[in-house]
Amino acid sequence: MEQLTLNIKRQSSFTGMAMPYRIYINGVEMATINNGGSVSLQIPNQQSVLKVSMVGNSMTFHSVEKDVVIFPEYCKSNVINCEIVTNTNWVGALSGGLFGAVGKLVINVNY
Amino acid sequence: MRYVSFILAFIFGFISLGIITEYFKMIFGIDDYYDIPIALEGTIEFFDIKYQLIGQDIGSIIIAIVFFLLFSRFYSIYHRLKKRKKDTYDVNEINGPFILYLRSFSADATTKKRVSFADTLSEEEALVEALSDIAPVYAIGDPRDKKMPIGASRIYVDDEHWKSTVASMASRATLVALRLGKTDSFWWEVEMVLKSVPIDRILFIIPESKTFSELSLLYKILLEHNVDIQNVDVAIEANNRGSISSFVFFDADGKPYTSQVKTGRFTQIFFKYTDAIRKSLAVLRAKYGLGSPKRTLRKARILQILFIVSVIFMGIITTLGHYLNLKYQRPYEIVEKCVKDQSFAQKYSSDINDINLTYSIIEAQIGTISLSEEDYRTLLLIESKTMMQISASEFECIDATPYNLLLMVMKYAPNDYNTYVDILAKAALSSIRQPEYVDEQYNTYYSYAAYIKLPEWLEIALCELEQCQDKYYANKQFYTSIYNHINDPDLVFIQKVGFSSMYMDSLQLAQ
Repeated sequence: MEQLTLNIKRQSSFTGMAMPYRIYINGVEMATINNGGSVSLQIPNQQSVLKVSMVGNSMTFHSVEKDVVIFPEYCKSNVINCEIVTNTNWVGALSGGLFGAVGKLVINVNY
Repeated sequence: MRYVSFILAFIFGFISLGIITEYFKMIFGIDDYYDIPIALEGTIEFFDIKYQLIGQDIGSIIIAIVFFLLFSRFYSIYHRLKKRKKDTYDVNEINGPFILYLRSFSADATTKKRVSFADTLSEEEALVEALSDIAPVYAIGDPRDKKMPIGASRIYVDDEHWKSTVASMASRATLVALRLGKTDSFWWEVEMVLKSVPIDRILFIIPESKTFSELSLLYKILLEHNVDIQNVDVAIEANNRGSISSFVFFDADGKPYTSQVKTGRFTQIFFKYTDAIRKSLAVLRAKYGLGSPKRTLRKARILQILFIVSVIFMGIITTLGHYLNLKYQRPYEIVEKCVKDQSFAQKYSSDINDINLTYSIIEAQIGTISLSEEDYRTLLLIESKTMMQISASEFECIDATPYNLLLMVMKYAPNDYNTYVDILAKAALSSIRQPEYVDEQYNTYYSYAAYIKLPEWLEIALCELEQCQDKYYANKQFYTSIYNHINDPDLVFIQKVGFSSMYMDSLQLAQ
């Protein structure tokens, strides 16, 4: 198979709930996900970099974003499921994004 | 302890956020609740208020910073105590890519410490955060752990099986990260990894050290495995953040690379330790297609210094602004404000020493009895000049509300306005600060009331004032007489006696 299906689900969270996340595969923007939303993408069957970045990062000192490497060789079927969890960084939240990002992204990849 | 830390973090964070918000509102004039207290320059109250303002302005910044640091400290304690249950992870359940983190258990005492005041993450968490871009990070757990520490996910195995577990995991791992240690177990792991894992999947974490003992042992082992490490200059210097000095990793051909972790001073806020690790692992990350942080140390340092300078600058400017406002509050501004705004006069009815600082026209008028002859004569001159020019409707306003006389002086004798109000303020000051002296003056002048002989021109003027139906016309004539006889040597004395009679009689009537 030349392509894989990457299902990305963004868990609902209070932090960043109003801001969509941009999804990049190998530096190319593929989609945006709103709070609680999900998206399904077709990605090449090769090692790729999935980047999740909150809209509005360019206006802050610290970005809410995360990169993960996708290793297709671990994929048993041609579907990879990803879950994006946003945790609140209270130091960043209380300092208005000055001392840190307001949230921290955790991306769980299930092969 | 965990919940106490959370409560303390919440309290300190809430207070610091409140102070910072109010401070920025005050600086940008969003909320004009903060009024400068009234005090005349040169008085004791002025100095007290001056230092009070300085204390409030600079003190509020310092308190906000201290409380924020306390919030950060207690939140990091709460965060660190939020440990996970042991035995959560099973080796057999790991079926995707992962990074195996191997270290001496004694290193945990160092890596669990918070990296800086602006970060709640420990060193291990920062390392795991950076490495988790590649794959999830697992480590062998210390059997002495009661709960799983925050950072790498722990796999707990007994002494019998740990070697086989480590060997099995190392052979399957996407990357094996080894933090140099001193224990025999660790060096067994190094030997095992070098024998069974491809060299380009090995990462050595070099902690700071005062001696080369661990590094030289690593060099020896690598040379025994035909890795050409001789010409690689690996750093072991201490950093101002974290205990990791450098990394050593290899390409597919076995060529070693090293990169130092650079943290820099004045970069804690805008260049996190995680970013420092990502930056130093840029070459390794590039192998997986990952980029490195865009912000450089230099930019972070500039931003942080600018931030600190801005906070200090705003604090100085605000304090200076308040001080200048205080310094240049002239008495006539105080009286004028009281004239125009009764609520203002009432509001400033007490200062920090509970002394009445309300300068109203009434109090100023009461205090005129204590003015010097020269000041009193000047007061009479300006008042009479004004009253000679006002219209009938304006006279009615003054008659109804004595405060309006000030506004009439502003209109008809603008060049004398400042002088007039300065004298009134002097009188008011005397009335408030020296009430006994003022009373004494009234009693003194009142005692002359029975014996005083009025000059003829004044007798005529007073008579006309009493008899004339048109009060406006009568007052105009009266003040014209005053103006024409302003240089009469007895004028001041006579006016004071007359005023004291009216005042004392009105006091007796009130009683």
